[in-house]
This record gives sequence, structure tokens and C-alpha cells, in this order.
Amino acid sequence: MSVELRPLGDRCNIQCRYCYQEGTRAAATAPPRYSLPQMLATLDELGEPFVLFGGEALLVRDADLERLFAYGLERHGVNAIQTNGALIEPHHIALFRRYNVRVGISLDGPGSLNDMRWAGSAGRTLRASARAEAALARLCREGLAPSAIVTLHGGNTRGARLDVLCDWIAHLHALGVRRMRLHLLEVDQHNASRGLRLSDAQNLRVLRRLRALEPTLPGLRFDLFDEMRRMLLARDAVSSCIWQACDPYATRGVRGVEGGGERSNCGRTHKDGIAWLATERRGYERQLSLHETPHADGGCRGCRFFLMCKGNCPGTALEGDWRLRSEHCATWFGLFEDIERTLLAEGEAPLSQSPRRAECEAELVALWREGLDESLQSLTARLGVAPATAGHAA
Amino acid sequence: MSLDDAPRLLRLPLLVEADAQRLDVSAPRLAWAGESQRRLWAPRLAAIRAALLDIEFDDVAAGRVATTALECAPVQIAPLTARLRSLDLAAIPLGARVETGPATEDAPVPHYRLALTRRDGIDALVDALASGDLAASLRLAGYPDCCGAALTTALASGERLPLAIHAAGSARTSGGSRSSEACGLLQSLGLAAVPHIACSDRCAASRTLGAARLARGRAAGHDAAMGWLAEALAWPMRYSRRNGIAELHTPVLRLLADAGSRQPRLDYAPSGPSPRVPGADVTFVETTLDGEFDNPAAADYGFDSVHAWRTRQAEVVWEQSRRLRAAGGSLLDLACGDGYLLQLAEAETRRLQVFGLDTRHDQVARARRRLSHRADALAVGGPTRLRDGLAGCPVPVDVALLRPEDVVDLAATERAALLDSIFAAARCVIAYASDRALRRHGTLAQLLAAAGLVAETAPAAADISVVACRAG
Repeated sequence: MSVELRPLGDRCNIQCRYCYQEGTRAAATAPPRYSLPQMLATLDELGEPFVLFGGEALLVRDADLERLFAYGLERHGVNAIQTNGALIEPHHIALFRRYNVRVGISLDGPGSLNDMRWAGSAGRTLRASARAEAALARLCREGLAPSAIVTLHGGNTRGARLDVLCDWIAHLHALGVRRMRLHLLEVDQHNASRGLRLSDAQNLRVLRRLRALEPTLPGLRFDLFDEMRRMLLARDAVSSCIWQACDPYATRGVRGVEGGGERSNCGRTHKDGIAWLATERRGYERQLSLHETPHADGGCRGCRFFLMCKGNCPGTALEGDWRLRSEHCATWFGLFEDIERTLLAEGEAPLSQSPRRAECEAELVALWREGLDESLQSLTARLGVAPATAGHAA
Repeated sequence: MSLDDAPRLLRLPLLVEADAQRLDVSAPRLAWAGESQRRLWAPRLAAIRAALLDIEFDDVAAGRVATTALECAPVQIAPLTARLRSLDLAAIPLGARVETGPATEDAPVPHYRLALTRRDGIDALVDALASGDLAASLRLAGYPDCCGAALTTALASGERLPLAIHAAGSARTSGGSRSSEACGLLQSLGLAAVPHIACSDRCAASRTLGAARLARGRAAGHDAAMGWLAEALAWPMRYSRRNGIAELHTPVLRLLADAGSRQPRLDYAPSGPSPRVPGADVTFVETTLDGEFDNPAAADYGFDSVHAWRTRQAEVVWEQSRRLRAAGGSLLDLACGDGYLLQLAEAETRRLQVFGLDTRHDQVARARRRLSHRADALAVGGPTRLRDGLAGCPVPVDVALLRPEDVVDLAATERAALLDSIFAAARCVIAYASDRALRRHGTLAQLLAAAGLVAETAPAAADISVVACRAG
């Protein structure tokens, strides 16, 4: 779901060391507006399923939570919430069941591997992490297995911690978790993330280890690898935001709705601590620039994975300048290469190796110049670019 | 009033046909720095633009400047026509820009570009436009010589974006002092004191013209709008161009435009570089895991992995958190293992004094390391150890944690005696199950029954802990 509803803005019960919202939190001069009717009105206008987000979404009072879930169920048949899990209580689980809420829990690992999700003191952090783990297990036991988001950083992958992380993921699989999302750490000037940064080589090593782990856990999917594979096969009708042509003025990958019903952008792009409102008009200046800009100048010119990657998330851009490609470029490139190799070995035809890739690029660039966009799936079908052979299911 | 309610003033030179000497006057993409800024400044900017439009019309009608240009939407044509007629001004079409997108509900909407002049200036304007005489166009548009020369040079070098042209000129110029009257960084939003593209924000000629124009505006009754314009032109601003994208940041709004030219890279801040918010100076200190996950006893306690064990212990505390917080007082774990559950219970409420017993020396040793401040409260032994006294542990203890699987396989009399001592030593006994116990007995209720216990209240299907009583 690309609509994030943030009823309480970035208000949270914990203070993750690497939180990308710390800038806006520190710069806030007035409490955010809150109006349930306005939120519902904006959600109505957008007309799409939404995910309850934060800060921490479970700080919303129960009556309003239920009202939002009731609306989501009635309007879309489904709800979603992303939470750090520390505040989940039995009555929340009852709400999740009643209103068909898909729960995503952000956890970086067991015990001390989750310490960067700091709760103010060692004791409170221990408690918060344990509560999140307990809630996750309880949800699985209730047949409501959540998905998990794990942010990869030095605190959960360096040294022996990577082994612990992998073992823990296997444990989550045993509990019933089937979907995990992996995030690379976003380093900002406003938070304490610098010391946690992994190099591209380290990120790649970790991701390769997790990619090798996936087939040993039947049914478990790391969204990231699945999506990258589908991007290479031009099956991107549904893809997460980082693969979409996004810029911080109108983050089309993620559209925010704030507590007063205002429309906003994805918080990952608020690098200067200001929660800029979304522009009405979309543009593709970033993608057009990246396409033309040499690698040495922070661009993507000539990269065979550009159609899939598009410079990736502007919130992770080099030097914090959204006009440049992602600082994780080498990681993504390495992973794309790995998956490309796998696809070729399976007899598939990744778009990155297609003799008509340049033609597809030119077509997409032409669309962007007109202020339009198109999925690779639609574009390749329209151009008659040979689809990938039927292989493993996406 | 929105920014788009009034026609948008453009900056000449614009030519009818595609030509090298043409400015890019596309509207930039604009974002507000929050809802409160938008509510405050959107109406103000619209008022400023309307006032500047009035001033511009008056200037052309009075002959202070020979020509100007603007862009308007179809709905604005009728009122514009009436206005021009009242001032005896003529409009010459320069082309149109078609806009599509969400704002137009995806229907193409033309925006007409018009050059305006007095009737007696039509010939000169038409001649200048038709001949492509850049110098003539600039004269007609009222450019000071320096600004005209700077624009001519910029166009010849391939620059198209007025914002980029002004910013580059401002960054290059060192003589004189900067003035907001000459500032052109917001000109693409129609916000500038001068109608031309100033060669720099230090341009004396532009400053004079701008100050005069602001004064005329105030005299014409646009006092508030001119005040807001002066305030906006004094905002701290930061301009940058990189890889063909020009961006301007102010505390109220930011805008971006396709700069066309990709080089050179430029960063310009009229008021000096903004102080960068210092980053949090926290260094991640890599600590050892210190045996946190290498306890080999998980299987002995009924779990397939140390993670499963830890999760179960966390679940017990989660399920019983209200009871633990309400009870306060004392908690005794009769199979404390390495003390992780007791550590979580302590984290739940400071009012809880924790005690632990375990038959395994190695686990008690680990527990004493984990809970060094409670080392004396952790002892090797089974429940019968309570008879000998556990340092500081009250009898009865407020809450005792019991694993029914530890008594299931005892002979009936031995089990009964053990349970007697446990229930005598605790006001409340909470029973919880390991994975192995649940696999063996099916449910928590069945496990309790096998141990000669019942739940005080029937557990939910997903519960793994419950307050227990003696059966029968």
C-alpha cells in the first residue's frame, strides 16, 4: 500500500538511533494537527488502501484506531499497520482480527541486536524489544502472522551478530512469519546512524547471506529479492516504492496523509528536518538527470539496471542530495548482478540483458519528458519486447 | 486565492518560433514547508502577484516600460481582455503551453503567452519579435544595459533558465552590496521587485528600479502586498544547480526547475551558507554478545533454539504484565534458567523483587552474571530449596512461576508434596508451557491437567501462561 496515514505524525514511544524522522522531530515548532474527520476525508479522496504509520501508530487512542480500521475494512476490505510492536496488547490483536489488519513489525533482531531501537534506557529498550518479540509470537500463534521489517546495520550484522540474525530469522520462520522486508540503513545528519553504517561490501555480504538463507526456509520471502527479480523480468506492476521513479517533491512511491488530513511526502526525503508538503504536479527531473549524468558525477548513465533501479530511493541519495543516485548503488548493482546471473542460469531473459533495453530506456525517458510514467510491464508489452520465459513464479 | 488565480508575469525575451534565444519560463514545481506556511503564504503570494500585475500594467500604460509578457489560463482571458481594454493596451500572442496532470484532471489545458504593449508600441514590438532582434526586445522590456548584456551572454552560452542566469550572475559578482530589490531568485513564482532578469542581486540599476517599483506599488494602495514581497525577498535562500536540476530553498517554500544546462554546478546562498545542523555525535560501540545467544541449554528447557526460549519467556511476561505490575512485591521463578525472564520482569516494573531457583549450576551462574545485583537472590535447587530459605525471599512470595512439565512425570505422591510446598510458598502461581510441553500435551489446559493443576480462568487458545490452582 502506497498511502501512509500518520495520525500522530512522527510521535513515537521509542527513539531509534537511526530514525530518519529525527530531523523533523527536532525541528517541530508546534504540535501536529489532529482531525479524524479530515483524515478520513483525505483518505476518501485518495481512494486507496492505506497503512497506519508513524512515529508509532499504536499511540493513537483506541477509539480512533477502531474508527480508522472500520473505515478501511468497509472501503477496501483490508487494513495495514506498521509498528515497532512494543505497544501491542491483547485488545489490539482483537482489533487486528476483527478488521482484517495486516501487521508489520519493525525489529532488527533478537535482544541486543535490536538495541538501536533505543527506548531511552537499557532497561526500557530490553522491555520494548522483548514485548515486540512476544507480540510477534502471539500474532503467529493467533493465526495472524505479521511481516517483519529488519534494518541492516552494524548493530545486527557485524561479526557474530549476522549468525545470530540468521538463526533468529529461522526462528521467525518456525513461528510462521513468511514475509520479511530488508532495509539498508539510511544515514542522515540528524540522527546517530553514522557509526552503524555498513559499507557497500558489507551490505552486499549480508544480503548475499540472507539470499542464500531464503531457500532453506520454505515459504519465507524477503520482499527485496523477490522484487528485484521481478524488476529484472519487467514484472513490476506491483513494486515497492524504492523501485519507482520517485523524487522528494512528490514521492509517488509513498504518499502521506497527516493527522490534520494534509497530504505529505514520504518522510525519508525530509533531509533538512522540514516536512515538506507534496506538490500537486509530478515530475521526473531526477530520473531524467540521472539517466544523463555520468557515474562519476553521481548519475546512472549507461547502467544496465537503470530501468529497474531508476536511481533508487531519493532519501538514500549520495551526499543527501536527492538529485544524485542512491548511496547504496554498489550494493544494488551487486545484487542485481547476482540475480541477473541466477535468472540467466534458469533460462530466463532479464531485461537488463535484452538487446532492446536501450529502446525501452528511450521510450521511458520520452515519457518522463512529457511528465508521464509507465511500468516496465506495460511498456515492454506495448513495445513488444519479448517477455521473459515462464520460469519460477514471482 | 491560489497562486494560479491570476495571470503569470513572464520575463522576456520570448520568441514565437523555436529559436536558440529563448528563455525557459516554465512554472517551477513548488513545495511548501508545511501546512501552516502554506496557509499563511499562499494567499499572500497570490496578492503579491496580483499587485505586481497591476503595477506592470500601469508601467506599460504609462510608458515606463514598453512591453511586458504574461501567461494566462483560458478562464483568465475575459477579465484580462477587459483590463487591457480599459488601459488601452494591446496583446500579441506568443504561443501557448499545454498543461496536463492532476491539477487539470488530466485534461490538456492551454496557457496562452502574450506580450503586452501600448497601441503606439505595437509596431516596434512586432518588429522586434519577428526579426528576432534580442537587443531590441531587451530594450523594449526595460532591461538596464548591464542586465541586458548579461542576459545576452547567458543565452549565447546556452543558459535558458532565468533562475539559473540570475543565480550564476549573483554568485560571480563581488562588487556592491546585495539588495532584496534586485533579488531574482523567486522570479519564477512572479515574485520580484523588478520586471527584468537582474544580472545579479548586487545590480545597482536593478535596485533603483526595484525600489521605485515597490514605492509605486505602495502608493497605488498595495501596501500590504509590497510589505509581504519585501519580506519574501529577504528570506534566507539557498540556490543550487546540479546535474541539470536547479533548486531553491527558503524557510517557506522550495522549488525546482529543469535547468537545461548541466554545468557548471553552482551553490549560492545570498545570506551566506546555512549552518548545517550538527549531527548527533554518537559512535556505535561494538559490544560483544557476551553469551547472550550461546546458552546451549535451550533444548533442556523444552525449546528448539535459544531464540524460541527467549521468545517464550518474553511471551510469559507479556501475557502476565498487568498482573506483575499490579502485584509488585516479589516474583520467584522456580526454573529460572539463565535469568532472562526475571530480567524482563524487572524491566516491567521496578517495584518487583525477583528471585530465582534452578537445579542447574551452570544456568544459575549465568543468571548471576545477568542479574549481578540480585546474585544472592538466585540459588541452585528445586522448589524444596524454599524450605531452607532463599536470601530475602519472603514466604509466601507474591508470585511464583512454575513449569508444570517439571512435575508431570513425578510420582503422584511426590508431585502432590511438591505442589503443596509451592502453593504454600506463593500467593499466586503462574504456570507456563514450553514448546516441548505443548507438543506433548497439546494445550496448556491439558498440560495443567497432567500436572494436577487447573487454570483459575480458562486460558485462551493462544495463551501459554495462566494463573494455576490445585486440581480438585
